[in-house]
Amino acid sequence: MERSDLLMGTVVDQRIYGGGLIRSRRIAAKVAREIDRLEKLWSVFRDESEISRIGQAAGGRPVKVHSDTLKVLQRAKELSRKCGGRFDITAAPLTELWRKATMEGVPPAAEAIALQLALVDWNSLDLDRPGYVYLPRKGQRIDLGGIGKGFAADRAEEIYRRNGVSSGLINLGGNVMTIGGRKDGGPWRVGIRYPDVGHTALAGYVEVRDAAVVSSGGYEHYFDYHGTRYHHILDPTTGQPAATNVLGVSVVASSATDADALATAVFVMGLKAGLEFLEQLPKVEGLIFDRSGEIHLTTGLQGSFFSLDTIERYPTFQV
Amino acid sequence: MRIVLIIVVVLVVIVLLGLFAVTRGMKEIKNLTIEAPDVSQIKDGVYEGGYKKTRWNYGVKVTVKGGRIADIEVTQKPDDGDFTAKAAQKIVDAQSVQIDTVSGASINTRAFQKAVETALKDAPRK
Repeated sequence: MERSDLLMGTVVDQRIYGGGLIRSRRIAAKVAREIDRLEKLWSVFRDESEISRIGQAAGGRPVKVHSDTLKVLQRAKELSRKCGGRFDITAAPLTELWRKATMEGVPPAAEAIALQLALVDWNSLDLDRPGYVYLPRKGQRIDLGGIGKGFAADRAEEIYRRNGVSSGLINLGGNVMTIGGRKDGGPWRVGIRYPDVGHTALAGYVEVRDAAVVSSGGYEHYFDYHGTRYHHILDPTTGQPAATNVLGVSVVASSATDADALATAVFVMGLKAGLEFLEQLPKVEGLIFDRSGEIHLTTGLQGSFFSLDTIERYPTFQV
Repeated sequence: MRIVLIIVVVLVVIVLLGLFAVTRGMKEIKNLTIEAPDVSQIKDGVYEGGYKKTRWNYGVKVTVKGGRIADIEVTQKPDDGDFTAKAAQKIVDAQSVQIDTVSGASINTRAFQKAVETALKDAPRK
């Protein structure tokens, strides 16, 4: 059974095998409804979403939220800490500033960046009062863009398992979560897209079971200004697009939520620090494309990554 | 005042029409079911197929050789630079190792995959 929907601003593909067509369809529909519900709770494009309301009330009062919102924010805060702020759940004011800049094609002024950067502080996100979320400074905001799709993939996995699915996968715009293996018993093969502008060919694939594969790269949104390319992944510690020496990162982990945040953080960290960071995390593997397009694997991924070397190399860009 | 109002109305209509033209067909495409035909059962030959939904118009000639997609020739495509050519390459690459899913699937790719599927759907089996 296969199903595709347009949810969370991206294409969501689901595949469920075994257990009968009608039942599979019902489970897939349930997952689609659940993702739609999470999107409504969290969308930054809806003024009445919980995430928007937390921002509106920043510096004023705590906002009562749904347990799912609390859960994702607790995890996001933990991951922000773990990544040393290279992933920061409160980076929204910066993201917004750069989103406008991308539309205008001109980078923001240094003073504007400094002003927004002062609001970026994951540690100030107050989750201590049960059921409530509070941002202490006016202008602070949250954006689940770097973790929400991962969380939704994990939620889909829960629903699949609860309903007895033993072979299936979900792909939320590149955030992949697999259940079991393929219907023929072998591992799932998840293609890794070559992280280069306009390039849609595959660099290779990873073989996984019961694991998430999430990729991050600056290749989807960017603009050029006076010979410099500005991509959309920001370093929340500097306020600038990450001065990274990598083109893309893919992370394999048991949790898609973690993989989502970690992929972004590793992209910001760069090749050496990023690879070391991944190596010291238990049960987390990954691969990094350096600026020349060379692929670097964590030790645990060697043997399950397969390169498709028939693919021609395209010229890479300078960050 | 009246003239300003008319101009505003005309502008709004133009923008809405533009938006409609750009997004028309998206819903159908995202709902497309794409079945991967079992290429190993298809006789060698060149098969034509296509998919058309508003501005997403694809035509392909798919060459099957020895139970594999050997080549995809794009005969019709929207103006997208070389995006489609690369999508074709991706299909040729992926089928040889039976990739299950890929990071960053896009709507355009789905319409294109549909064109390939239609080419192979009615191809004679071995």
